[in-house]
Amino acid sequence: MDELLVKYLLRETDDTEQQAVEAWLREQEENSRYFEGFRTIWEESKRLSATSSVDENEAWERFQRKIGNKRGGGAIPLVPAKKKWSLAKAAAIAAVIIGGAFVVYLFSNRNNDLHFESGEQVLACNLPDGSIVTLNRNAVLDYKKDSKDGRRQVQLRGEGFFEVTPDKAHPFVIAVGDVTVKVVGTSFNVKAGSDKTEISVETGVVDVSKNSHSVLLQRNERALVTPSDKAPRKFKSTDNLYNYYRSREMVCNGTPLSSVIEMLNEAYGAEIVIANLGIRNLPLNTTIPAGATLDNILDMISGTFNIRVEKKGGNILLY
Amino acid sequence: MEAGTSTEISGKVFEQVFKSHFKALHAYAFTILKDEIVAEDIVQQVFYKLWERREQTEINQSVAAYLYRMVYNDSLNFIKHQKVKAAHQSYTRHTMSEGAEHISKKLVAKELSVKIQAALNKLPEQCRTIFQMSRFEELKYKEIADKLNLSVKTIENQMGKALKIMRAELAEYLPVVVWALVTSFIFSEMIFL
Repeated sequence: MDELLVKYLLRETDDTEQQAVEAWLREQEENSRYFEGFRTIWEESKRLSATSSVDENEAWERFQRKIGNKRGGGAIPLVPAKKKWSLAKAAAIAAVIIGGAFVVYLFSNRNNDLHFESGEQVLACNLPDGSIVTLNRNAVLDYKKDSKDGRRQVQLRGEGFFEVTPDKAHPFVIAVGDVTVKVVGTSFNVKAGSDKTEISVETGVVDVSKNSHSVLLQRNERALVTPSDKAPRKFKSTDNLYNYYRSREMVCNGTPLSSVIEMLNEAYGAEIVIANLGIRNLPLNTTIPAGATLDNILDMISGTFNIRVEKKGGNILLY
Repeated sequence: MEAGTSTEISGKVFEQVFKSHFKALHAYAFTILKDEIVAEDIVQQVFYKLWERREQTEINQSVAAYLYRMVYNDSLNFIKHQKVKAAHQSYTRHTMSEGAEHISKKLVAKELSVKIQAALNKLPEQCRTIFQMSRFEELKYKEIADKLNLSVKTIENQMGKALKIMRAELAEYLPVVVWALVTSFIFSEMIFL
């Protein structure tokens, strides 16, 4: 009967089967309640559905590099790139040329260069072109304006949020290690760590490139680049926790607990460990106000999810 | 196109197989792993293994069935390793399942998702693959049967089995949900009286 009920639920039954199920459901209330159980599971399970935001053509290119790396030669001939890529490629090539110009410029010491170091405090840097860069703690920013073509060139270590003054004639180019971020006027966050560089876009369009591969990011998209990646990977943004060090406010909107904890560890220099895999993805919906203490926040989390918090040595365990 | 049974996979066919299955497999791995990057790495690795073995392997079933099974197994293996790591960091304790004392109505829906996820994780591979194809990829029985090279009857059986297992996993929980839904319904009706 279960199979038939499921079939009915999914509208896969033929007429005879449908009548049989409907008759059975009318037989007694218990039956329809039983069926409602299936319906609840079926309907609620839809929430767990996921769609992939990864482009299959880009994934295929990564796959070919993977084969190439291991076998020392492209076993499969490269697919011709899609038409719309040519524009992105041109931008990437431009970015590389700009990168080259930048290196040359480093040696021609001009005095409109600016140097910022945030140290232990979040630091807002006002650049001569009107752009504002908010540096997270322990970040370093160098700014130069090309005297010839007026390009705005920046080098970043650590994390910074950029609000770039629009100026079509003079692109704003950020070098983060071997990753290049190029914009005209927009706001976005760049976070450079040793294991990955992450760029999250708030407004406008941002071109992120590495080697000769580039991706275009729009609002609510982010790019990730790890040192072993040949090209940036593009994803949808799942949260905007990166706002934290600017606004001192943490806005969680269905944000998985693991991301919140990662953020707290960074913001508070804490060592919080999720000791129960089952709670890693619990979605948190709340705004943690500026000035909240770590204990306040942990109390709130433990209350919301019925999670136990235990302090052990320097660690805080959640399970 | 369903590159079918027991043929050697050529480069061109491989590319088609990769591109036509990548997104669905990536989403599938994501529902298990909840991490986009790890999910992509797993899927890439599965294709890599298939590529490495393409001359030796005779796939005597549909490629889709083979790929889904590999992604399922590798994802679970990954989680198993993570669990071992976590266990070294601390004692792993599962308190979520025992915390059903004060379920407020608001939490019911969210908690139900967590429970359904846990129930989904209890499904065996074929059962889960078929369930997810039906539920998340929204394919008809016939379409799933064609993709996996199985009979429609098998799909029917497996779907029945999937919901039966999930129902059993949620057995203690479902009456609470139904109760919460019913009381909130009665309550909202009373306002109008």
